[in-house]
Amino acid sequence: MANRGKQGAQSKYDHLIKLLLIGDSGVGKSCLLLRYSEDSFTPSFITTIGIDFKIKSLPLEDKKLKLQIWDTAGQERFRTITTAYYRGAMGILLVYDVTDERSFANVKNWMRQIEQHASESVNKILIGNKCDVDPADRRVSLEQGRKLAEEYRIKFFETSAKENVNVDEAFYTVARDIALRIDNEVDLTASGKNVKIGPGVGPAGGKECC
Amino acid sequence: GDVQAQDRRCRRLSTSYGPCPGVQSPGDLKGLVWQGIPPDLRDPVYEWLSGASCKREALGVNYYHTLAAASEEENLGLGVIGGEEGEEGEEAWVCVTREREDAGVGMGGTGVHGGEGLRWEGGAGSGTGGGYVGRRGAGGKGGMVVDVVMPELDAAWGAKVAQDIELDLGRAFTDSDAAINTPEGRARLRRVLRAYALRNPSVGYCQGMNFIAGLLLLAVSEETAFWTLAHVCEEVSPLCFSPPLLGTRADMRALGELLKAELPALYEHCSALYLNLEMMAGHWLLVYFINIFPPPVALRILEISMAEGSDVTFAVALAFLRGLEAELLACDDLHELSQLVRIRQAGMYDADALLHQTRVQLRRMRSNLRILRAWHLGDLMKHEDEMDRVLCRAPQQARWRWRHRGAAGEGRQDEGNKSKGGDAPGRSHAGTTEADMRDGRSMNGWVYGSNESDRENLAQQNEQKMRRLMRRSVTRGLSLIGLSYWVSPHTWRHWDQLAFQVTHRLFLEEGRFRSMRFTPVLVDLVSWWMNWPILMRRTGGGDLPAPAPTSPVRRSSLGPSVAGSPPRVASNRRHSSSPIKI
Repeated sequence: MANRGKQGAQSKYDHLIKLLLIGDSGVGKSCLLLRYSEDSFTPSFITTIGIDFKIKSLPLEDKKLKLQIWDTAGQERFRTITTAYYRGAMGILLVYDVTDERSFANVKNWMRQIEQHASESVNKILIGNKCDVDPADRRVSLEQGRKLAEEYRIKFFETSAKENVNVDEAFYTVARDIALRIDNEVDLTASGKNVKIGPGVGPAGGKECC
Repeated sequence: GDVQAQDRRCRRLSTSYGPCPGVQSPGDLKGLVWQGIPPDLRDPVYEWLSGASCKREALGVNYYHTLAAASEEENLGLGVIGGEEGEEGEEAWVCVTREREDAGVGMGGTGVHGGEGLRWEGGAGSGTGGGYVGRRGAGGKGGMVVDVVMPELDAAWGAKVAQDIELDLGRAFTDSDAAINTPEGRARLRRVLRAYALRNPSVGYCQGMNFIAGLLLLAVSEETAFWTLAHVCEEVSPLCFSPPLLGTRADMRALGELLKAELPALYEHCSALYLNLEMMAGHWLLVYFINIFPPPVALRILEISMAEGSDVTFAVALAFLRGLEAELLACDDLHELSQLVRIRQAGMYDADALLHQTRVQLRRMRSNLRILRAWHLGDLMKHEDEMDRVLCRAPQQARWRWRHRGAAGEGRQDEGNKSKGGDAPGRSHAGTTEADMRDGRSMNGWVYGSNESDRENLAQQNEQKMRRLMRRSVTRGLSLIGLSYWVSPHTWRHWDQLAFQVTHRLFLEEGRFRSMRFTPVLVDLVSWWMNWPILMRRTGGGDLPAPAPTSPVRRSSLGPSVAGSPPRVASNRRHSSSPIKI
């Protein structure tokens, strides 16, 4: 069933990439997503309940990517709902607020959630949002963020949804990395098919599907 | 013509809104609510639907104002009290202190479901239950009787809740012109949400409640909004807002199955496009379509849900998608499809057509839906940690129940002591200290202030027994009945139909279920069912449904019952003729 749908949709895009935005409540996940998908910003945003999504098409070299970006509720109790969707995500954007130390300290909790619930090959990226603020209001420095990202060996961006700083770059980086990874996996699968190693094809195909 | 119809509707509503209405809505009021409540009658009708007048009677007329005033202090007014009794660990327990005099006026016998609790005890408990969250070990002070203290309910909890609420005050509606986005409107929203967090700490504040309270504040007065919010969180959608969000998760799954069964073509179409419909529709259910449909439509859905139960939201989702099915099927691009849904949602101004469809859908699939929801809830609760979390969040109710069972305990104290000792280390996860365990005042995060040690032992034993039994019968959704009863007996008036359906279905499929070792549960269900009228009289709410006619026969044919499963509680209750004393 899923395969048939993919065949039908193949004329429109080459890869469907599923991204997930996570992070504490109020760090600006929805604003980032709105900026990226519709290039607009609103200071008065409604609370995200449970899970929401947006679609964005992205040309990458000679390919067309379609990004399906899931936006999640930040409140802790909603994790029971949102973690169910970690496994399906190919990339995870972990957002914190540079004006809120607590959201930065919680990054390690979120990383633990990812380790527990997401697939191992998932691409991760750390984002410090609201970097447009007055330096006096800033609580987490660029260096701190960069250091933490290095610790986890993931990429790092400081963004501003309000001023449109680095938003496209952050999403583009994740999407590109995932597209590369998928291409490699597809190559592997294809070669596996040629050699006709039955068992080898299954897991690789499943991985791509998820 | 329209004005006349409206006028007639007003008059009919006014007459059916009696001076002291009972808990149960009469059928004609339901019909009227379906047609829409006239704006100037919203206040009294909301009060009526939410049972506010009854609750206020039980909890004191100033209940809301007292709570609101208390919650306006820093950290929701939760502060540390010193160890007045000179006991170790006392400082660590933080709670609201309320003097008895105060309690007599505004907060007597309050609690998450305190009013019902009192009635439940047949009046015997009316002298107990001082403050909302009482003070431990202060039995001698000002006649204040000790109440349950939840260990997590401290200043840090208050600060966290206050912060969460503050963050979401401005995020209730996008429309910046709405009255709720003025400073005054935000203050009202803040008061309602903070007061509710104090009323029901097991929920505290859950995102989405800002939508509900915000919408209500646009429609009715502040106090009515508070009571309506309480009604929604405790009775219409129980278990949906408290931390593991069990109800919501179960509902999302149930909705997925429902859509798959009712709209198979659309479901397949969407999943082929990698769109998970149930995920998209999941948050519709939690917030009653607020911020999804235009406010007037959302308000009507909320009103109907108050009268009919939260099944309505499923029917709305189904009716909405059914109306859109042809368009959606024609659309084979994910982006266009999601945009289409969004546009149709925002343009849903024709509430009457939607609600007519909703009513048709509801009538058709309601019984199946209830089974589906129960099934999924039970399925989620199979995991023990889920059970722990759910049980941990029901301290008030648990106390009433356990006391009763303690009084009816049949001298199993030794057994209780033994198992208590054995299980002690394993319970530390719930914040229980060794000292608490020794004193028998705390179990699994629930703390008992009673100084009668025998009661506590019995209570502990009961808890363990309950846990064991629940774990067993939890399989396959049946535990819902037991659980809803334990969490809040008064929600039963919404579960009665469900219980009947489940029992009935089990009998129909008896052979299949017996092979799945359901017989004990089945028998317990029947014995519980037979005691339904007595229970309902005790809890003081709801109609008395007719007992399943086949029950006695079936019961005898199924062999002896297993003692002590949740439904057996009912039969204990029936046989204990002496009034319960605390």
